[in-house]
Amino acid sequence: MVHILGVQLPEQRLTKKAFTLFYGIGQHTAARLCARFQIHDRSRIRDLTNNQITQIAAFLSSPSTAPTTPTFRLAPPSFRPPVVAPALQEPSKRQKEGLKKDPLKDLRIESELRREIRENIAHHRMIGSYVGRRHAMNLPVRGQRTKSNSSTARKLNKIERRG
Amino acid sequence: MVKKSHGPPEQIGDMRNRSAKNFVSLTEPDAQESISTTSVGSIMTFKEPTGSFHAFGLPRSLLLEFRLLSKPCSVVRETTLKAMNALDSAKNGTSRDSRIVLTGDSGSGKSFLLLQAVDYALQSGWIVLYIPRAISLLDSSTSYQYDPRTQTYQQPPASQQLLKRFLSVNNTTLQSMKITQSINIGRLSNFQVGTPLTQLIDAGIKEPYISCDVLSATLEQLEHQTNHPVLLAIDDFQALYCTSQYRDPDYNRIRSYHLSVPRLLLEYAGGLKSYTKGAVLGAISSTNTNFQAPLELREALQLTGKEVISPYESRSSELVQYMHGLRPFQVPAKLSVPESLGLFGIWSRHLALHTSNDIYFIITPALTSLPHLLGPNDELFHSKYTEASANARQFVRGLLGTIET
Repeated sequence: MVHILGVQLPEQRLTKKAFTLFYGIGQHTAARLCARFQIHDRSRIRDLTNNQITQIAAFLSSPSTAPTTPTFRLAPPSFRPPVVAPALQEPSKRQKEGLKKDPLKDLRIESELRREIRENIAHHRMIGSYVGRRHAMNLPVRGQRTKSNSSTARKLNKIERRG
Repeated sequence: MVKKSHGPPEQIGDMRNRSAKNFVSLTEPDAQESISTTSVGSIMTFKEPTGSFHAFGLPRSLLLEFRLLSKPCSVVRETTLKAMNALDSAKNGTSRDSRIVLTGDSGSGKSFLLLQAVDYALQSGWIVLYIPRAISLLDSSTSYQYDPRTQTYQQPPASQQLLKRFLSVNNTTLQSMKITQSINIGRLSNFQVGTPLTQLIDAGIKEPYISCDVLSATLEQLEHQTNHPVLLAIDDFQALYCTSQYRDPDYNRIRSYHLSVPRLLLEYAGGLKSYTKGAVLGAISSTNTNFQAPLELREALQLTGKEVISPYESRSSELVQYMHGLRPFQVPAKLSVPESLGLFGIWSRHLALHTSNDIYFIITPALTSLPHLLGPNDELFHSKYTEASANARQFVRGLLGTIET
């Protein structure tokens, strides 16, 4: 069992599936995380090296402050590799401008995400909106029927919502 | 030749004799006979020097068939003899001049033909590197890591596995070989000229982080030697030209020529590197829909006859560079009658057909409409041959479909 940020990841689980055990990480974010750290699809948690686990833990503890994804130069067909590896080069200004926004920069997981959700509900309550009133009354927020079938809302919709 | 039956038999004994008469006797495979002297339609067991199929592995469909058979065997076809001749003529030429790709309809026998060619090459003293499932190099099933020196993504476990397989099959041939050109790759500069080649390969097998460099260095060392021709045989050849399922840190799919092992194979397939004596033999497969032959490859192999191609279709110039000089080798879509009789013989001999030579129930006229119950006979053969439209895979599936539970 590997522990990252308080979440236990089982050894035999596929890494891509194991990442979804974090609150706030679904299948697509997990796939992006695996690509970010060059983890192949069939990798299991037991195959991860200590270095990779450290990198993942460091990234997930604060995704917004993590270093940007490296832009690797890729060899054209006519490329002949040199004898000695060159130092990693920074991407050119043009390359940097062309880069798409990294969706993992805005990643929030676990306690940060739960806090954000509670803050959003508290904001609605504070401004006295319809959404806030519905949360306070434990009723559906998005216009669903209440004559029947509102059991999930009655269970989960609260001001101090668990998650 | 197969004789036609004339109406239902009246007695059990007659039926037994009739099925014995109608069943064509096939030449027994002679253990010492080589493929080149065997006639078309006869069964040939694979010689499999040093258990090469166990070492290299097999394509999935062939593996399943060989599990059903008691011994791996195949039918010698006319195309088999043509392929043997092509290999014989390629023996003394560079691999740049002999880059052949087996093309043909689905189920026509391309993978089997490639396997026969590999077996023949191994028996004839070639050094063979056979990759039965090129898709496994591109489907994100093994680890990968960017290397700033080669500017590609290295695949250490895949290279390690290839080296292990290569050494295990070609051990006796490689024992006598030594490094003839100095290796100028950082971690491998310890290997001087005159070191045995097997020592280099062993180092790559033991230490995964240098296995990619060792694999490319080993294949480079074999380029200049002329004692043994080198055969690079690749099944699922079209996968080398597809985009892989690996992703880079920006979540873009990685091209095949940016992965170390497929790039190495593409360089030999495209003629950018070549062996002084050798050949590159590939077989296209259409089984896996995630790795279909791209437009550039279909055009290079002249497979776009009936297709309507939009003039706005883009073609990758990098991929086209890896396709110059590929020669298509068309495998006939239909089996001839002697060839299919050979296949029929393989499966009935191995008792895969749930039919019986001994009939323990009364023959009635109604049973004649169920030829599979009356033993391996010409009605069964012709019905299965016609149902399959002489396609090899469909024919074997039809024979296996005689199993009744």
